[in-house]
Amino acid sequence: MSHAHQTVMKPAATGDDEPDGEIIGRSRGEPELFSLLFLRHATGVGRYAARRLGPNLAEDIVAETFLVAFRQRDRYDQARRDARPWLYGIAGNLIRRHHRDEVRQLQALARTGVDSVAESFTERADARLAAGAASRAVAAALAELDSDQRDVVLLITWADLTYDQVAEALGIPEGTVRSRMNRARSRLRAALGDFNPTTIA
Amino acid sequence: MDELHLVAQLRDNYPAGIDLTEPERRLSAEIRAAAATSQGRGPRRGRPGRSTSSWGRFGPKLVATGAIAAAVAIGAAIALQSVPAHPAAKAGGSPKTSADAIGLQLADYASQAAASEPEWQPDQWVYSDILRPEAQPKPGATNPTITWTQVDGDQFGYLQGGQLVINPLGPLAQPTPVFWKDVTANDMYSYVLSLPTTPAALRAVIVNNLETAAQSRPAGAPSLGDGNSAVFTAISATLIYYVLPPKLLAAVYGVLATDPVVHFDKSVTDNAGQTGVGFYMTQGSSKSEIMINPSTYAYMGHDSVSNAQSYWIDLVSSGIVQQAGQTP
Repeated sequence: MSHAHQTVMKPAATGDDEPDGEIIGRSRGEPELFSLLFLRHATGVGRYAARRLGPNLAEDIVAETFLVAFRQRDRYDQARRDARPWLYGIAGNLIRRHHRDEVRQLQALARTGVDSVAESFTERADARLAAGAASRAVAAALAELDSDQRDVVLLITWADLTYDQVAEALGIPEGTVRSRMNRARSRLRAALGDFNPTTIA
Repeated sequence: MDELHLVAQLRDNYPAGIDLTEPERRLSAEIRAAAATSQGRGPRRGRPGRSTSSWGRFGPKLVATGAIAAAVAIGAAIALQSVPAHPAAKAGGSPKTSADAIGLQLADYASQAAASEPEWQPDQWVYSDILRPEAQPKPGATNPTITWTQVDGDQFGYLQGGQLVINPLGPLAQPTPVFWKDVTANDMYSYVLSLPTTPAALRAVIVNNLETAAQSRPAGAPSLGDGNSAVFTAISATLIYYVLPPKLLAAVYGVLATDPVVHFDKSVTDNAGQTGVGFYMTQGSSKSEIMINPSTYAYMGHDSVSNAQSYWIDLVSSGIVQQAGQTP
């Protein structure tokens, strides 16, 4: 029996900062390691998808995203340390299939002030989030954007990707990302006019 | 405020997580299939019991030796993220690592092994053989304690002078916390057996218990700590006092494996010299560790070090038996 805890209880080396790229590479021979990628990024991808389409569709999006990623892991360039652009790119392709649903929900939010995406989270009529004027205006503006522009705007503002990461996610040059962003911002400014709220519901 | 800030705030106040149980289940199945194809090895079976632990039996490189179900645990665990966050949960934790992935595998193996275990019955007895430091320690002295507790909470047995003594198990003056819910001695196993055996649901119960306790806590009384660390503490305190049925114990491991402030030790040695694995949490210079037998998935004990002071307890052996006086 030992009371020398300091010498007995040594944590094993963990490789805490192992980049996504290396994990994906190793998962080709050790598929179980792919679970780490899910652990790291499923919540973020899920939240992004849920903000765009609501939680029910988001569950499918997350499931399909990681299945597709797992099946395509052999093609991943291990030099890319951060897998988020890849994952958000896959998720974006899946979200695009629901383009009409997304626009319809944004338009409904703009028109009625009731956000069906939020409603599906709460599942309680009395917990409906009655959106403020700012939310309604933003929803209307987003609904008016081209889907390519909306992808760029939301990957940057909701997924916190950088321009070069968005380029990687969408498979387009960074210059194209910037031009889409510029056009989107112009249209958003025009749509929002002089609206300058201090808060947004 | 520019237009991008306005966009960023839209739906920003929605719940942070969605239910990831189904996505995880689907990915797990895919990974299982891939792993089975490439390696063709299944999970080892174990049965809680005497801690004849050896990492060697489990495999020194569990990931590499065909831990097929590794990913299964992920979701169980990942589903945790759908549980509403503890109001006090501010602890961020550090990124999960490849070592932590092994912890997930362990939780999954434990869950699969437990699936074939029979449910505990009210007339059965829970056996435990505990080793702990003497209250008034002599050098190297320990205090072994062997007990039997009837599952229905009616009776309690122990050895006195080598003879089995059985007494009614009356309600304790002070209820004992099970996952931080105060439960009387008579009701403890009925409560334990009522608990959910999936990590997500179990964590939700623990979080709820912590919230309830926090609401009734007198002003100024010390708290358990922030969110995730409180969950770890509640689990630690429960395991120290109660032998849990295998399915519930596997769920506990699932909770630990996915807790952002908890990490996995691939090798630990308890005070009886037995080796195992562990889930640990550090706070400053303090370290608290839950030790597990990787062969049987049984809880081995607890070890805490804080400011050069240590606390430990070893569960040398445990299990369910038909009669008091029997051993597993």
